[in-house]
Amino acid sequence: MKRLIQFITIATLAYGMAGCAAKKELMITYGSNHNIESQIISVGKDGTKMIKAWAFAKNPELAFMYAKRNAVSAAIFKGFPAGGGSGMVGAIVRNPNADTEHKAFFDEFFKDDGKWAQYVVSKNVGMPSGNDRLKVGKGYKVGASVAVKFDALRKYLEDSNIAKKLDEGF
Amino acid sequence: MRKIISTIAITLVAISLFGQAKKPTIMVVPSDQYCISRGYAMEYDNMGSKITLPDYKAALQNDLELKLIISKMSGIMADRGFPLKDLEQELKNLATQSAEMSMLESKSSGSGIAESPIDALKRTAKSDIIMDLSFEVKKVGPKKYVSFILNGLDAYTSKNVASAAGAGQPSSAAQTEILLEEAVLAYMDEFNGRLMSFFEDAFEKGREVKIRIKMFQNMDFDLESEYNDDELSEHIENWMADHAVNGRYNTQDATENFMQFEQVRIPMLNEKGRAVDARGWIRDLQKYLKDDPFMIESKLYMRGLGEAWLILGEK
Repeated sequence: MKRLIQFITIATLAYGMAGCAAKKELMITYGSNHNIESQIISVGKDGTKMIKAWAFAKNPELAFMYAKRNAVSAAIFKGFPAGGGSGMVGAIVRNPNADTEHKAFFDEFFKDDGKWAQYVVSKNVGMPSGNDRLKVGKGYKVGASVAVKFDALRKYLEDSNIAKKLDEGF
Repeated sequence: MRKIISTIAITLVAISLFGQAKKPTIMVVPSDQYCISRGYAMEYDNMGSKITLPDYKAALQNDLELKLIISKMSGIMADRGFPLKDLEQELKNLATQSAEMSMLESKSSGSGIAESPIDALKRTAKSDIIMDLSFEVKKVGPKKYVSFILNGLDAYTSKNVASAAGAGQPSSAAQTEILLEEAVLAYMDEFNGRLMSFFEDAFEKGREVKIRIKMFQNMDFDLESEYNDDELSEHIENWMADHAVNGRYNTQDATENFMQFEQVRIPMLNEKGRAVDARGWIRDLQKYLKDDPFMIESKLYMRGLGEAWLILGEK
């Protein structure tokens, strides 16, 4: 009987831990677009968009990197609402199923040392602080102010046949 | 071996040429409001009533802010695969073309170039999509900001197919030129997003065009004449229903002398994979009416990519 109670306790704890781990993983995947908080800060110069994006992670450094990646992800899949003196910016990829249809491409593109990093430049000097670095539960929520090289990113995705060109078909 | 390679090369070139729809031309034109409010206007007396029209030439020759904005927009559109037609250059071309036309003659007989009054009338600056532009630098205390309106108008259906409008962030430090540049950068993505939706819709549901059926005077038949127990207008409507994409068209107006069809959806490519415009599409109706039982001759008149008239009775 004692062994049975021990087994049930261990199994319950293991299940709970596995659940927590899976939840953390979900927060950082590029595909979970509903998670991304991002907005236009101001109008960028030729070909760039000035964006502020947020991300969660167990430490601020990791959250900062995820926030930068989220800015690129939002530019590709979600676009940005009007704000900061700019009109609305639509998603580069207009096909809502593009992330699953081109999963292999995006898995490679968004891996930690993937090409996404070429298309984002941080405007923060060092790590964000104050209201841009919040302690939430056991982790951190960090907001990164970045310049996304929007036109270069769009061109790369168009050349890779992921995004549709404006003059496609003509 | 050489023959096989050349056959493959020719086939590839043919596919690339015929697999593409006709690309619309786009031109930025300052709005009537912009031109007239700044004095770039022409006035003339039309039988007692005063008509005011925008003077594009004067606007483009004197307004540096307008030129700056057009130049910025041209760069962005060229980058997206749509180099814009330049209004100023187009107006210059038309002026030199008129001079050349009047001077040109054949070597042997000294004959001039044939030009009907309608040919002369058609020599105007035009494009398939007009980017109608208005902007104004406004002031709030010491700060300046730019209010910006851009409408993409389909020249044939007169529909607003893409638009973007808004006001920039007020600034007391930035120069006017920088604020104008920001205004273009701020709204062009929104405009292009809507333009893309318009193109996607055209590829999915067909290009929207306008078709008019007219009659020459003094013919011994009209659109109410009966052929095989049905009026000619019914035969034409049946043809439209059979040939428009998914039978989509709208009979806007009809009498015994004319029929006006709007929102006619024509395919972007025909069954051979060749690009189709309103004129090419309505030519099939012209052939249909030339056949038994109608035996009607007609003149096909083109008004750009998206509008064609079929005038029944004669060539």
